[in-house]
Amino acid sequence: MKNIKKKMLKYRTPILFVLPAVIFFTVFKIFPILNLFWLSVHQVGRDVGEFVGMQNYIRLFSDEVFWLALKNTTIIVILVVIFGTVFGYFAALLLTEDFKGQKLFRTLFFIPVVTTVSIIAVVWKMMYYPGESGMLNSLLSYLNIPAQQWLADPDIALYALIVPLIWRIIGYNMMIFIAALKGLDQNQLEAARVEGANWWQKLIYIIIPSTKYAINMVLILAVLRTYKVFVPAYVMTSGDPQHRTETIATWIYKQSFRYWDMSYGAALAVVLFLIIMFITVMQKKFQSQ
Amino acid sequence: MIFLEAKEETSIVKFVKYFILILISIFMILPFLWMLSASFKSPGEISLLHYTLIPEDFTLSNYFYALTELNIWRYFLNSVIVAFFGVIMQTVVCSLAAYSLARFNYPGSVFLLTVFIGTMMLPDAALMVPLFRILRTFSLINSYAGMILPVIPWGFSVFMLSEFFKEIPPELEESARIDGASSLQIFIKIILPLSKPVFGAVFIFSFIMVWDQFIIPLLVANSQSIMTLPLWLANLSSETSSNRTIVAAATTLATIPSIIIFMLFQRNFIQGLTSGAVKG
Repeated sequence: MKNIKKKMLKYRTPILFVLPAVIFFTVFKIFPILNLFWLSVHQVGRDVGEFVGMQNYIRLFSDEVFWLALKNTTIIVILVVIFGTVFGYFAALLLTEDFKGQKLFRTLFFIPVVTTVSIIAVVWKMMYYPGESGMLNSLLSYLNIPAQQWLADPDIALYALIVPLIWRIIGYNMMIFIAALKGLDQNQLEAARVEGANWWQKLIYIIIPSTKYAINMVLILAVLRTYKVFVPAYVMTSGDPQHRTETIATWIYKQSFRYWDMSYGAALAVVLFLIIMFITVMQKKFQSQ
Repeated sequence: MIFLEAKEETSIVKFVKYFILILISIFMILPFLWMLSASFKSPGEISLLHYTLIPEDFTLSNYFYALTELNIWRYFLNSVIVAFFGVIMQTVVCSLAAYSLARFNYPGSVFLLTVFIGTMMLPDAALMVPLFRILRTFSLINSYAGMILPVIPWGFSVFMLSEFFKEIPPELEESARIDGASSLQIFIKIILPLSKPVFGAVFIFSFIMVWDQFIIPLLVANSQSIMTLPLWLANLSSETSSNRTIVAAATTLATIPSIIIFMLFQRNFIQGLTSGAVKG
């Protein structure tokens, strides 16, 4: 005890330095996540009411919209991860080495990353304008394809929502892949060339395996980011039509702040949190192997 | 290209490469082109079935309307206030903590660093309900403080800064300490000047993170007068009465700050992004 006291005294100033952060992290990050579990097992109105046990969690099983939202979110994650990674890698392969225009192309591909998500969602929503004068519909009319309802069409809406997500992640992935490709072992490539490997063999046997770490990194970041997707879905469709673009996060918001059922909203949020935790733990395990 | 020999890069290969790159570029800038083009069109022209990229009936009236009638300045100013105080307070709080935790070995320092960085994993969307309740308890709903204070703790800032501080040789501080300088003096006079590059990167990430905030303003800003630009724009676009050309002008104006910041700090941004990602 005395020892600790002495140490605390010695480190008085550093402890003062860390104190504001301790307060802010506790109030806005650590308390909320603990509070979330608590809220999910209580009746929550204006004040926290009685203990309701697992009631909210049992309700999840019969909540069709929740299952639909889980399915939608998973489809979004899978498509964004696959296309975002493949296109990002492809762009990086084309843009790693110097050539005329390389800088310009890199900048153009990267600009979507720095724009504000919600603003970009507004722009895409306008491009998907369902009338015949909508931008995409006018382009389709050149190809003699009839006007589409896009975000209002239950069969298309989810995919229309996914395109901008892929659009926005390509540049980010590309930059990480370029950094990885620059660190490629040139001797290894040279040896392969001497042995007469063609470009395809070099790509499959040398380039991709030696950038395994970056690929792993990009995949996991994309999965984690996309599972919690809220803003584009909220701005572009708010989950409509018929919940076909509902994501877990938009459903949390609607339950909590439209129907004011915060304790059920909290239970949904716990599910989202557990999904993210599960993926993170799996990834750590995978990485340490 | 990386997987081709110089001699394999024939003019056909080059042509195909440029062709593909230009196709992707068009896809990437299409939304911006649409936005710009629509913002200069008249409401009559945008309703035409025949689409033109270059407005035939060029007009500035949408910008005029957004700036005067819609008061876009007001929401821009709200965003600037939140970003300014949010970024500065976040950087101060997180850098002091990062320095303390990266440099001094006291009981709990490793634990705290892990916890702070670990909060990066918490999805904003999952914390909406408790965050709203906390802000309401402190009467922060409908206030700037309600939008500023929650963005201060950011694991990513602590992570980037602590990684950097660990690399600074401790000898530099030792000699100053012997000369009787306090820890705060050491931090300001020795550590900060050495850390200019990392602070550059942290500022940019922090700015983009705060400027991008949507969920917190959505919970906090009930009255329109306090809304930040992104929230106001999203509302504007969902009002059925609002015209596409005017929304396009407003989004163009709202995009300019991000593009300027990016152009100015492009190098720091990309360095920070790739180093952060590769290390983390």
